[in-house]
Amino acid sequence: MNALKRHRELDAIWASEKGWTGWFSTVNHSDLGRMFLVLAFFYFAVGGILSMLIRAQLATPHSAFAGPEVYNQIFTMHGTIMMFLFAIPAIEGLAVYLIPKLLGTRDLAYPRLTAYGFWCYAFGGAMLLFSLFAGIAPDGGWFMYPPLTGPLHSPGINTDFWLIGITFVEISAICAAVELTVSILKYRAPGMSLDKMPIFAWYILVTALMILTGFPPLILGSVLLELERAFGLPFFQTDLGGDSLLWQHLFWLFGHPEVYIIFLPAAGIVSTVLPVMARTTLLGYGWVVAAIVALAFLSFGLWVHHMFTTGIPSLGVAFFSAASTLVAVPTAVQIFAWIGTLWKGRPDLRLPMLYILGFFLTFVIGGLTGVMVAIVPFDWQVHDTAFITAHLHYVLFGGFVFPLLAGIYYWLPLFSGRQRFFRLGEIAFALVFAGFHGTFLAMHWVGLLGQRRRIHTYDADAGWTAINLFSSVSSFILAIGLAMVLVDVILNLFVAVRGKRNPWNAGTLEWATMAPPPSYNFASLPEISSRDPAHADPGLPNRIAGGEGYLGQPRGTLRETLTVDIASGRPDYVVRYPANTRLPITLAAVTGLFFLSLLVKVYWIVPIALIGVVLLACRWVWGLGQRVDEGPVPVGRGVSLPPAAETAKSPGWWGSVFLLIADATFFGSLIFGYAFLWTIAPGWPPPEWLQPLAPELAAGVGGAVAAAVLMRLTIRRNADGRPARITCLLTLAAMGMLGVAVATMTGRVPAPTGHAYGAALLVVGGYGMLHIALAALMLGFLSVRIAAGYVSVTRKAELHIVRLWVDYAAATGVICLLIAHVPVLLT
Amino acid sequence: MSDVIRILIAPLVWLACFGAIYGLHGLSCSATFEPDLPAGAAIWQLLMILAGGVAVTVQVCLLFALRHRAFASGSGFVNRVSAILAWTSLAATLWTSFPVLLSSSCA
Ligand code: HEM
Ligand SMILES: [Cu+2]
Repeated sequence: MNALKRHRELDAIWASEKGWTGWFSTVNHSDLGRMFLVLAFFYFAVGGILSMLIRAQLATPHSAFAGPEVYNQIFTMHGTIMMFLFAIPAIEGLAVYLIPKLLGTRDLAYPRLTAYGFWCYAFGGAMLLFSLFAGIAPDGGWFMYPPLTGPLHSPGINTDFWLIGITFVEISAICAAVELTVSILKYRAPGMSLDKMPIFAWYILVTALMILTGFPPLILGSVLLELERAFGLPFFQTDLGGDSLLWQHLFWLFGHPEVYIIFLPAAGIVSTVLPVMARTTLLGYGWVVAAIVALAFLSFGLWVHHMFTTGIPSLGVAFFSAASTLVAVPTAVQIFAWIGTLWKGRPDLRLPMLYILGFFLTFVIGGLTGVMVAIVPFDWQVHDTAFITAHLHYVLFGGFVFPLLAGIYYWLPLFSGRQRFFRLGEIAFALVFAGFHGTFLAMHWVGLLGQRRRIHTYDADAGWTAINLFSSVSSFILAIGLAMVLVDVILNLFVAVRGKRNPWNAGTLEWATMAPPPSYNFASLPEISSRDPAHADPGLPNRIAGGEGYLGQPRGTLRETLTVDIASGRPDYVVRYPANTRLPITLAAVTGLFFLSLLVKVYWIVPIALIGVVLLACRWVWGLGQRVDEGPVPVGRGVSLPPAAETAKSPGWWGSVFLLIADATFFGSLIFGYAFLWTIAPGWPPPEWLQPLAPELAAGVGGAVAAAVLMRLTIRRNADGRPARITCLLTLAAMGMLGVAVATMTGRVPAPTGHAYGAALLVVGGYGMLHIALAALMLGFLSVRIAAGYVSVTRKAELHIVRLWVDYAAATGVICLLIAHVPVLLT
Repeated sequence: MSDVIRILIAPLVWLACFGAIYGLHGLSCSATFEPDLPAGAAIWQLLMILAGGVAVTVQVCLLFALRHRAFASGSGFVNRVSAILAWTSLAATLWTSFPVLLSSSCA
């Protein structure tokens, strides 16, 4: 088979539907990555226009087109859109597009999940955009502090748009994070051991893990605040045992890691692009990996530095001040690695390099003002002034937008297969750079002079007028520069001349395929033995196209790829992907219906939407797996591998593990919140405790233990080739017993609207019941699958996935019961 | 998986200890407990210094364990990265728990 015939056959298997209807059914990561990026940059434009409105309003003390109500919506939506609808999705888009290409594989781990995540983002974003145009946008600032955003002070629907819309969008971030984690750990070219991974993959891996542990606290906070607003459960009302500080803890428990979630991938772009521009390799690969892991962990120990002015005890302040100064160390390690790389290389000042230099300068200044505000007395002075907004833009724009633009220009020849021919990009860079510094240097200055953030006007004789005008004019220069970047990119995508493969002479795998890459990425999967495979073997592109790697022989209509052992990169299983489908967009629409009915408070639709989600999810999973044992199949180069359904640790198992890590973080935050209210909130003890009930506790613990044991028995029986359906149903019954216990506990909670104690227990019980229901559903589904012949001694993957969820539900169910019973017994 | 755990374990333990000490501090300052104890504040501070000591000890043990042959990974890269991170976590533990020695107030 020659290369052209192989291309035709593979493309017929992998291509998405032709025409624009293909957008709705595509599950291809290149398509979805591009869709993510386009939508994210659309929101960048929207957020940018809002920031122009802000600067226009602040240009003089007499601007009057936005009164305080409108102004509040504008800056809140600017911050919200930039953080949630631009920065995170842009990163997701870039990673979704690039990661399989960098890792030398054909798609991400769960193609349909990529699509589902995208549509959740699209629908959730549309909800927020609608609120903006309807004039009912959120207006409580991007961090939405109660009591301002509570039911008493913000009775309108504005805040609900934020809480519900952002939670919906967050689903997409969690989906992408699970998917990227599993893809990076398992879906790589054979031979690509951990230390041969491109450095960008490490950054994305760490970022994805941070999303899994950083976003759940915010989702919890949003759920609690929405429960307070919709049903009067008083989590944040001090007079009823709540505490508005709880929101600040939950928000910043998310919010500080969020800053690094945005920064790390951008740094990953720098670590990827810089060595290529300097015509060398990254200095200190192992140190950089260690630095990003350390940075990720440290960033979870910093959140209180956003709360230095809330009157927390001084020892707490000392802890977090110490931790805050510590993060400078791993950041410095990276910066030294970059400087060292420049030193040992021969840097070439091409356009991506310009943006990287812009990043260096800006980010270092942002880092310095960051150290300034980590010093508590200084922070007391500048808290809530324009100094802080200036600082955060140096970090976000300097640390994120500059590297992102470097990355866009770097990968543009890959996206388009074309060669830039105008010099528009260089002029645009000059405008962006000058405009940015003009805008925000001035804002540092007025901030020090005392101008508060989030004010829609100021006194003419405050002495701030000239500085503000300068800032506003600069911001329009910045906007013109960004518009030119857009024009430049569009011209490139559509009218530039065809370019040659690998114009930068980079060593990573994405350049070893066609540009733009074909639907299947690699005609055959290369065997990797170096960190820069394209440098190590200049003939690699031809060998890949010639089918000399793995899976070079298309098989029927199967979309096939390989998974590898995590550490060594030895190939271990064959994966068959599902084909194009409209299921993800349908499921996302029904999920959207669920959120929408909560938003407009039409509660009878909620259960209908939930049932729809469950049915579609069953439909989704039913299509996977097969009814016959297949055994190892040849994958080329004389190797045969079994399909992934014939292992205990299938891709679905790995996905479940990481999803459960996010879930456990959510539960942990819930317990933290409960403990926080109990110990810190002023309105305690509650008027009435829950009465402990021994039979309830005993039934629950008994059910949980029985479920865990019976599930293991089911797996054992299946492994022995005996029928497993009866024990599976018995496990279901045991789950039921645990469910009844948790439900009675939840039903007995005293006065949930009267005191935060009851409200918290209600949520704890609800959480337990939800997971028990989920496990029960899976057990029922599993027993049907067993009856339908999808499970055998070798095809055991589903059993092990269900076991994870049963164990989790049993453990959390028991913890819920203990949380309700034990503290009462102690007091 | 075990190689991923080898890399993550030391900073994970740092985070857990940091959270635990901060939680203990929250407990010590909560109104429900303090007045019930004679010389309450001193006992709590002793407890926290103890907790800081335990955290440091655990990190030192981890450092030895990760360097030990019995727990080493087959990959030299993983061994190197986990060793760097174990040292980093030890330093972070010392640095972030020293405030308990210097400051004790709940004000
Ligand atoms: C395109 C150029 C940009 C300009 C001219 C700009 C301008 C501004 C201004 C003037 C404020 C202060 C509003 C006030 O306090 O009244 C602000 C707030 C903010 N900006 Fe930007 N910004 C830009 C880009 C970005 C980007 C790229 C991000 C994040 C990735 C971002 C995130 C934020 C956040 C989080 C706030 C705080 C909102 C709040 O106080 O609730 N901005 N921006
Ligand atoms: Cu922070």
